Amino acid sequence: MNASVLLRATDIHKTYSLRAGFMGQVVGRKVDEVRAVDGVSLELDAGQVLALVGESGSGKTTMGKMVSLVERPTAGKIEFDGEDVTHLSSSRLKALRQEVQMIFQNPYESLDPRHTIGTSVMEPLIIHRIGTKGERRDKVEEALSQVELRPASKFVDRFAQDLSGGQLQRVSIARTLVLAPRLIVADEPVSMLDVSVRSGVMNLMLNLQANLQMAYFYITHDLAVARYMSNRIAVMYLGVVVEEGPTDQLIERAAHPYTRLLIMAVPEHKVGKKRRRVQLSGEAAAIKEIPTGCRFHPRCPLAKQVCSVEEPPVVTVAPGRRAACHFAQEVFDKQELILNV
Amino acid sequence: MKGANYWTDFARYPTVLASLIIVVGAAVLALLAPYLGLPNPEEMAGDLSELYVRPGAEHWMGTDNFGRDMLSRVIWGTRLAFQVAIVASLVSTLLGVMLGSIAGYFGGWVDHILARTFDVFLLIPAFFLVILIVALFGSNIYLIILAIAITSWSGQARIMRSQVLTLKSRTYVQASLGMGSSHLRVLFRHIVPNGLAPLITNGTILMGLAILTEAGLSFLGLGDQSTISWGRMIFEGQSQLRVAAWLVIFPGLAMLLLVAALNLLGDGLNQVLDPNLRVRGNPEKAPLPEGLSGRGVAEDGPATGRTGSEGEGLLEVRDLTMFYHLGDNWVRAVDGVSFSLERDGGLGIVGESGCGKSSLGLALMQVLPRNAKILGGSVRFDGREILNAGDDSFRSVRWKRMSTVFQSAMNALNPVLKVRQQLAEAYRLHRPDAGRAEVQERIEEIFDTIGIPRWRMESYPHELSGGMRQRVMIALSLLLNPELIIADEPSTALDVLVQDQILAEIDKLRSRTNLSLILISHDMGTVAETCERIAVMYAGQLVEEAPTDAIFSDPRHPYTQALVNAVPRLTGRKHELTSLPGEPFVPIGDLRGCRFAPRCSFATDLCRQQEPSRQRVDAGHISACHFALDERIENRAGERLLL
Ligand SMILES: Nc1ncnc2c1ncn2[C@@H]1O[C@H](COP(=O)(O)OP(=O)(O)OP(=O)(O)O)[C@@H](O)[C@H]1O
Ligand code: SF4
Ligand code: SF4
Ligand SMILES: [Mg+2]
Repeated sequence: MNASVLLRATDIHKTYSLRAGFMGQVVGRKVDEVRAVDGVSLELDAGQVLALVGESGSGKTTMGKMVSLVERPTAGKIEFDGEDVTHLSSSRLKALRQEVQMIFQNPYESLDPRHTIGTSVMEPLIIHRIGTKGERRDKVEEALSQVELRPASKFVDRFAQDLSGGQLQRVSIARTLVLAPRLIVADEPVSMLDVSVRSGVMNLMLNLQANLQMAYFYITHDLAVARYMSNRIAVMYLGVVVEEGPTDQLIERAAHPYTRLLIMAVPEHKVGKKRRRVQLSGEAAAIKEIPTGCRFHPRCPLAKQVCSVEEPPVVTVAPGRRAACHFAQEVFDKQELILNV
Repeated sequence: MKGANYWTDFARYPTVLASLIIVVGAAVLALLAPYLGLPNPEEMAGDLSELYVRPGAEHWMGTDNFGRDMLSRVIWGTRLAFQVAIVASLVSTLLGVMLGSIAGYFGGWVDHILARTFDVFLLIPAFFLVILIVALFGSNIYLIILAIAITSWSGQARIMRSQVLTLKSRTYVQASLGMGSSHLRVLFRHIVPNGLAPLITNGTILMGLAILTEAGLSFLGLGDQSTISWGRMIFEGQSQLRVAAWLVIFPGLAMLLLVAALNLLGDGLNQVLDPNLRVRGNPEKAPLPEGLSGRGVAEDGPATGRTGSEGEGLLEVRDLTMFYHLGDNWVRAVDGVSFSLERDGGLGIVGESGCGKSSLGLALMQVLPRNAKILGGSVRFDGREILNAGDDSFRSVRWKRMSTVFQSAMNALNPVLKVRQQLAEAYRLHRPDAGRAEVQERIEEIFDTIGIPRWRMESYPHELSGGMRQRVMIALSLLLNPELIIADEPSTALDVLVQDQILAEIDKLRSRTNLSLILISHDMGTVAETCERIAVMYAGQLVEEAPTDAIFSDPRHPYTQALVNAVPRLTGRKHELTSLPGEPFVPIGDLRGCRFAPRCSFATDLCRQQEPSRQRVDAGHISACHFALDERIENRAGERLLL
């Protein structure tokens, strides 16, 4: 066991039931179940960044809610700093919330429109009864200048509506900083920002992470962003992690056909070169109708008979590299395999 | 600052302002009644020598059958009216807020039971319940107020419940819970205050209702005998209507005025508090910003120049200008845009959110939102002016020769019609005499081209995935074999793999037919792969236009340089991303100088004073920067990331 593991999620499941409605229940219609997360295991070391990458509906946000302890998993175990936190009492949970903080996708909705920026950033301190009034104010100003909203005094009395998206997201980051957390769960924190503003927020997050020794659980649909932000990447598809490994290695040499295709599909201009386009069969599957066997088999160009019947095992293709595919080792060893289909 | 906004909003609605003045005036009178030297009517003995005095200089509202001054009675009556109104409305609002928010927030069986309770109370005819209560428990003013509140709280509760239902999923609520807030704290710090606006509106209207109800009770003789209310004055005065009509008229007028004012105020608050109900500008009436009067729309038809002559591309756009009228301002969404597109050509238009890309697409297709106005320029399609050339003339071009896929168009399909029906309808609209077989054949053909399985024709839109729906929209735009298609973010919001497939279809299509394409997107990578040329837009203007490779390898506008370096890449060496200070510029009102100057590290006084003209960097490479040819900017283009 590694002593520096900050967060460990083991075989996490989350099932949401869609009610059949009152009349439906009367006539005995079955309640629809959606398996949003279906057996995910992940580890995040202290002071590191793990990027969770996946398409919309793959279960990334649900996973984020569980590791940030906002929702409880249907099954599985979540450990924080060695302590099992899956079923904590509410008082212990409240204490733990100081250590795990969240940043959300929509900056325009992350702050209460009726509160000043200062009040919003101070809220965590009030909830956790930290410091005197004066101390709180100092902490708020310090946090605001840490996120480069300077001079802080110019911002504390303004309202969310007076700030731009980039500034709002910085305020959200400042709000997490006042509690000096050890883990920040960030769900697509820059995807709604303008391109020219986005990179500033990403750089800020990286600097803070390095200076304050925090760990990030960074959720994104964008592999290039994941590459820029993370040490490790986990790729999700329809509720499961299909591949996980160190960022550079994983992008350089994917072991799962899905990851491989995902990397190939990113449109990126290279002067004078033309990228090969991916040609997939089939349509994207929806989480409501998860295919049997390997979830990716209806779209996978390498699918064989076994794939539609048997769920693939998790294979360790190299130290620190795992992938859930019957042919992971072959894909890893022979990268051209997919290119030639 | 917030307060100030509300005041100017109030000023926009004169009736609201008037009603506000009436309500506040009445409240002041009520408060000051004891200090105005008006005798308290309860202690007023009356002067037997002054019975039934007509309204006049001495007694402005006359006197009653006991010789009591009506003016002071009416003013003292205001006190009671306000008491009834405020307490009843407050109690019902408080009850409504409490129960409505609990129902909405906790949901489940709690909500089930409470919501039913609200419904039951709403069904009870209010006035009769009040009468019943008063008849059963006696007539006491506090009881009357309570009875009014009991009959009106459930409306407030229902409003609160629905407010909470929407507000509880707001991110800031989630955030606060995530920080460790208790449910109660979240409810009363973040949810209730944000949901209160419609309750205030409704509460104001309830105030008027409470006054009327109390008056109604008094008029029926069920009022509290120990109070002075307008209702009782009317009740007592009615028997003397012939002798002294003023006994009824003045309290009646006072009541009418106050209740009407409260209702108007409630409506007005609704408008002020709900920004969705505010007025938009009217582009026909608003004065134009200075310096624009000179620009005009090109004349119709061939008169202005060559028809399809050599050297002219399929689409020639000159100085196209379209503004939105918003409030008192003009948003310069498309401001003097010029470019040309060759036959078979592909032009990508990129820029950040709000730079005007979509507006440019709309202006080209001339499908304008109501508050938009084309202020000038020329758009020539195949040698013919189509801008404001009259609807008929353009109709022959639009959709048939030049069509479009709008941003988020995939939600624009009719949900109750099968895909095949929608395509067939569109086809028949333009080719009315097409036979069944012809239509079917064309649809099959287009489905094959776009890569939609034919059996999907019989699907309803909701049965299709986002990617398939988007393909159907593309099929729709290609149905009539256009020569040019304008696609606005056709693949954004789709997953990477699906997006790639759609772009591949567009690619294939272009190489097979001689389709020209204008691809609008915020994503440089997407555009780069599909188009030979790229135009970069900033704050309503094209700032750089060049062959795709040159945009990446030799960008000559500081904004393009920043944009190219701000996006992380999946391949190649990792490099630190650059970011721009400040925020994208919104072009509103009168402008001067270069719009990028506030964020540009090369900006000089010249930039701030004078709008840069288009500089020719190379054949087919244009940059709208004073220093496009300057060494510093050329060097910056060279020191960029490795490709
Ligand atoms: N109907 C409208 N009324 C008033 N202003 C508008 C209207 N539509 C757009 N605008 C404004 O015009 C400018 C250009 O908007 P436009 O939608 O063309 O931008 P865009 O580049 O397509 O952005 P996005 O990437 O978000 O689609 C923006 O400032 C926008 O707020
Ligand atoms: S298990 Fe089979 S279907 Fe699944 S990814 Fe591997 S090869 Fe493809
Ligand atoms: S004109 Fe001046 S401010 Fe504008 S982009 Fe060029 S250098 Fe920058
Ligand atoms: Mg747009």
